[in-house]
Amino acid sequence: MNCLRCHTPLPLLVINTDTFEPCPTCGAKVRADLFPAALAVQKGPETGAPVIEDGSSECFYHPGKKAVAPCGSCGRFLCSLCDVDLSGEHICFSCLESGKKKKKRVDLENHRTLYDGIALNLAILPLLFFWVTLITAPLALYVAIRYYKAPTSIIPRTRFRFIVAGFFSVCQIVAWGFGLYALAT
Amino acid sequence: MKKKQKLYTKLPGVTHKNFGKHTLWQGKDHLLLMYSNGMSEDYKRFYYKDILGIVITKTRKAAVTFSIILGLFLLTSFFSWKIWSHDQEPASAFLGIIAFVFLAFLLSLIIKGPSCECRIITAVQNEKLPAVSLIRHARKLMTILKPIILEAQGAMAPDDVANAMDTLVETQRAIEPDRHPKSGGSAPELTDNAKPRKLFHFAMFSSLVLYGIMVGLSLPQRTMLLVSVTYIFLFIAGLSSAGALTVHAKSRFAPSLKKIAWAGLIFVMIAFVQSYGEIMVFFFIKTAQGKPPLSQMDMFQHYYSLRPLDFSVVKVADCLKIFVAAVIGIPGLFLLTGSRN
Repeated sequence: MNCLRCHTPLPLLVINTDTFEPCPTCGAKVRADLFPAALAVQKGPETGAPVIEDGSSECFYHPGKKAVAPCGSCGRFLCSLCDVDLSGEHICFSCLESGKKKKKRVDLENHRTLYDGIALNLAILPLLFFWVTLITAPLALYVAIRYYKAPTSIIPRTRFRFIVAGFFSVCQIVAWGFGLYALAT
Repeated sequence: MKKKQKLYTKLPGVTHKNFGKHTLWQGKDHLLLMYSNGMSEDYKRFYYKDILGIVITKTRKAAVTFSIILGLFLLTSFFSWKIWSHDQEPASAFLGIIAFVFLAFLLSLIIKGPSCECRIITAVQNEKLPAVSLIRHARKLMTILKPIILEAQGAMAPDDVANAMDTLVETQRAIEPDRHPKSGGSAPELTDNAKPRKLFHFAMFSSLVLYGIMVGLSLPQRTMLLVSVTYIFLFIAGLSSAGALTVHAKSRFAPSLKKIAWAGLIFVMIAFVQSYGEIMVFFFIKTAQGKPPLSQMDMFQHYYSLRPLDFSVVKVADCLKIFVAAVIGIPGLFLLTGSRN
């Protein structure tokens, strides 16, 4: 555990004090918190227990290894090596992989496209250069309708942006309609 | 209608960067670091049971920003007041507005308080938490986060802290061998790639010294040649400072050299802003007199035909520039030639 300014290791005196203490080397105020997991790292990785008794269940992926839990998704028996604990659920690697690919599991996602934000930006930002709205307004309306049911942010958020984007784009389309009609007549 | 389950709760800390913002969220069994730019989001998760430690260090970023803004505020206020006394109200009002903007920045910096850097350590990561950049956010965050992590991992006896530290050092050594040498806390031997390249620093400090000399030569009477050469040196100093900062990120330098390089960069920025301000003040004076400059060349012509000794404000500003360029450039060159790295 190092000071982030001088990168020298911090002494035990400044660790887990719950306050900012000066670093003995550079004097920068440092707060360092160490957690019990640091002790657990010493144990090393699990290797999967061997089958001890004849009648006991074995791992689907590692025959000969004792099963410790069934996969919460596919039901296959898993040894301690194959068992992935995800939000308190036991999952096997193949279900984990398919869950990530199909975006079924929120806790495996590391990127999301915010279509509500795209629609809103398409509806509002081009107003600075109004002639661009001839193209962007229908586009914003399309995005707002097409992706209305698509998942938005991972954090709590309403679909208000879609509604605002739709409203603004409809207004722009109507304005363009009137403008073009006036020009034509 | 079934109410949607709330997956995350907002935690203190937000940093705006690259047209987006970094935020922290508390999940059921993990901490979520999110970068959002309004059109997409990127997530990083840190499971409570995997977090080995959190380190927060107070940084000088807020203090340095405050000093720069304060300098700019004083400079613009001073020029505004000086011009006002010469009956140049429009120009004075323009500078007054700029000074007010700087004042607003200063107040916001005072409210925000000191800055910090926060890193989270797991068995395989040592990640910066960009969302936590202020001490007050860090304090609030730790008050919320620490009980949650301890609840997930269980309590630790005070005697175990030393054992845990040993484990952590080994873990860190595996993640970042460069920063964690095996022989205690001494600096590791630098490889050829990590050896500091001093060319940028040398260019920066020497061009600052030459810039100071050129400003000194221009004091009695500026000429086009003198002004052009002066700004070529300032431009080189600016470019090389950018290079020096890039090199800083990749290799190890003496802390004093780093500080002085930062000071050089800040000085270059202030010198550019001051020169631009001088040209703008001329523009407003001429406009107020009903003789607006016809082109940028006119404004530049006025700038290089000036006799700084005849104008107290310009004289003071130029003397300050000579002084600061010497104070940064000369010790910088000495440090550079004296350092073994």
